[in-house]
Amino acid sequence: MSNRVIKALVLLSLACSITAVPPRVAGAAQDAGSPAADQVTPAPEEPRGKVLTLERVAISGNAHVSDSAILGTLDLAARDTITAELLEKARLRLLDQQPLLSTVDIASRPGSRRGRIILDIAVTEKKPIVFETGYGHHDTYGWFLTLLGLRVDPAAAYGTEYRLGLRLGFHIAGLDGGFERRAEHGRLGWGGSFHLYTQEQIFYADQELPAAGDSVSGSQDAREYRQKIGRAGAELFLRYRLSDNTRFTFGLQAETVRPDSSYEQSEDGAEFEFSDFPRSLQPDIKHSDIVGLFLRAVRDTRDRADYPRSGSYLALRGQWNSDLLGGDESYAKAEYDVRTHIGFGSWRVLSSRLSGGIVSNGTPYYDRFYLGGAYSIRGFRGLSLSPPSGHDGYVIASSEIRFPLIASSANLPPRLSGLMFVDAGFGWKRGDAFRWTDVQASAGYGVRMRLPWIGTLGIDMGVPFTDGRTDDRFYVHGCVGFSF
Amino acid sequence: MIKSTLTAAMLAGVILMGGVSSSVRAEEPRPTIESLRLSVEGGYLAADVASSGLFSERITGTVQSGLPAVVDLFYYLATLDGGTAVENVLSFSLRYDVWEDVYTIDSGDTVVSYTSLPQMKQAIQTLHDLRLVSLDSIDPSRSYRVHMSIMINPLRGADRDQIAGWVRENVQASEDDSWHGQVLNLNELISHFFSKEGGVVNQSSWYKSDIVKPDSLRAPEQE
Repeated sequence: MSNRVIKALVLLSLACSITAVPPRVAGAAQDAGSPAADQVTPAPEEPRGKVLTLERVAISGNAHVSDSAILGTLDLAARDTITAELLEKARLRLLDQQPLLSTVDIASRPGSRRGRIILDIAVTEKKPIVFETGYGHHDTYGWFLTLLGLRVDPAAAYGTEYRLGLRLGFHIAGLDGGFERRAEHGRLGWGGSFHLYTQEQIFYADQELPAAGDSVSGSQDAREYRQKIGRAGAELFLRYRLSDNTRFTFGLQAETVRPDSSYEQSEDGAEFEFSDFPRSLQPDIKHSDIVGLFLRAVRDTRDRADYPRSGSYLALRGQWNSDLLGGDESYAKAEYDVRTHIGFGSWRVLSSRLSGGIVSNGTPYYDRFYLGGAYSIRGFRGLSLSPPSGHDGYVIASSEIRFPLIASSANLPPRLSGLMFVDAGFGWKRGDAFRWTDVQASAGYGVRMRLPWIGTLGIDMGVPFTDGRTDDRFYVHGCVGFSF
Repeated sequence: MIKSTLTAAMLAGVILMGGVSSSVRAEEPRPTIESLRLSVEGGYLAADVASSGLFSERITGTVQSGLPAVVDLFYYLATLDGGTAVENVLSFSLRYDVWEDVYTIDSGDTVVSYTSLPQMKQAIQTLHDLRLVSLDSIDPSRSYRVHMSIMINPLRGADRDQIAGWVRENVQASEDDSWHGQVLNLNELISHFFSKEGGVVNQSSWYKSDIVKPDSLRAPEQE
């Protein structure tokens, strides 16, 4: 065999051994735009003692996060002593400090000498754009669909998320969006949001209207009326996360509100002018610009939000709108919401809620309180327990026992669960004397079904103990999740 | 002529190695539970489990480098009415001491040593007398079906949210002031239904045993 043939065979063998190197290392090295993925630093001396030491690192799967960023976060150098615990901390550090990484898997293989290892780090990156859809229920505007939502986590920004949503419901349609730059615990993050809606304000009044008298006295002949309101606004906020459970939000909000000057009766579509309402019931329907400050505090220690078995939830919200800030209206509003959950067996829970709020004089009707409905006092039609101009304050208390109807896994809520509830509450207008007959109460039962890809849906059937403003012996509510 | 022959040979060699490495990439083994035999031993419902496909290149490399790999065996006892009686995980840490040239399997209670990698592989892939649940904590006169899945990870045990079919929720609740809603991630929905791979690569699919009544598994002298 000639020397040339022998040399060619040797070269061929060499070429084959290079291409047989594990694909992830070859792939990483072929990334033309990035620096060399491997740290190759052969140690001249044998390792001291029986410890494993790092020879080099090979990275694969990264298209947007650079090798140097991953290596910098790993904080490992050649000849470092390696243990499984140290590598797990490095893996969690990567997931925490590189927000574009979705998964990080670390494996190893023997290095060039006994006791030396080569780390193989395989990462997957988050999609920069996430499409969403969904549905839900608003306390005032009822059911809606989120036709399309968009969340963007741009590669250029650290920990900032942008979202945009298109909503359509029976009484609401529009666009909303926002962004938030999250900060670590103990630091301030910031963000903003905007909304552009057309909403239908629902209220109940006596059927003799617009001609006849005061419907606040609680007639049971009330009919449903609706009025279109256009709302467009934005807010900027600072958010301080004290811990995983507690956060404070402080910000500036501005909104323009354009109520229609007419309303229509839901039953027959008849239209009326607001000027036909008795003066005492006329909502304030002028076009207004509202500018103010707000403060929100939330402390949430529930073990899980969808079916809490322990813990509590506390939310405080306050806003102060003033013409001193450039708006047309001056008023203040404060609300609280306290919930507790006590488990007493597998997915059996006693849940309670106390909520309330108060507004100052001059609050326009569309920012006042309207009681009744699935997330308020069940057994009564939504918003039907308040006069057309709303209440100045309210208190609602609810208690509920939840239990599984189908035996389930310890890790997931039951596929089918039941509940029994008691709701009570009252609203008041400033200057009115409290009367026990103003308290509305109901009791009932419901079911919830947890469906894959859809979430938790259910119905509650409430029987009122007191006379509401509509002649319903009972009422069935559709619900998203639990009422509280 | 020799030059062109050599060039062709080198080209063929490179293509062949590329093809081999491609086929190696495509044929990484996937964990599989081959069989599950139930019995009653010492007051426990016990199992003999045979599995395969645990040792991919990544796992073998990790063990042979001296770092551990962890095998997790997930199982639950399902009642015939759709409920779950018991749910648990058994974990085994596989290690190789590169200086003493000894392989070990650590189950938490016991550590067993082996002199070679094939011996350790054989041992972990044919587990005997695994104690699944004490008969005192279930109703042994009822019928159950055991569901089992095996997973292996380099360096650490499985994260609970990694486990397919165990704890996995794709819908997030959303609540903000007056809004109560559910949000569905369309990217995940599309990849779930249209992804060719499906499931977690280093986890087996769930193996279902025959329906058993622990009382009927007891040997006559155990009653």
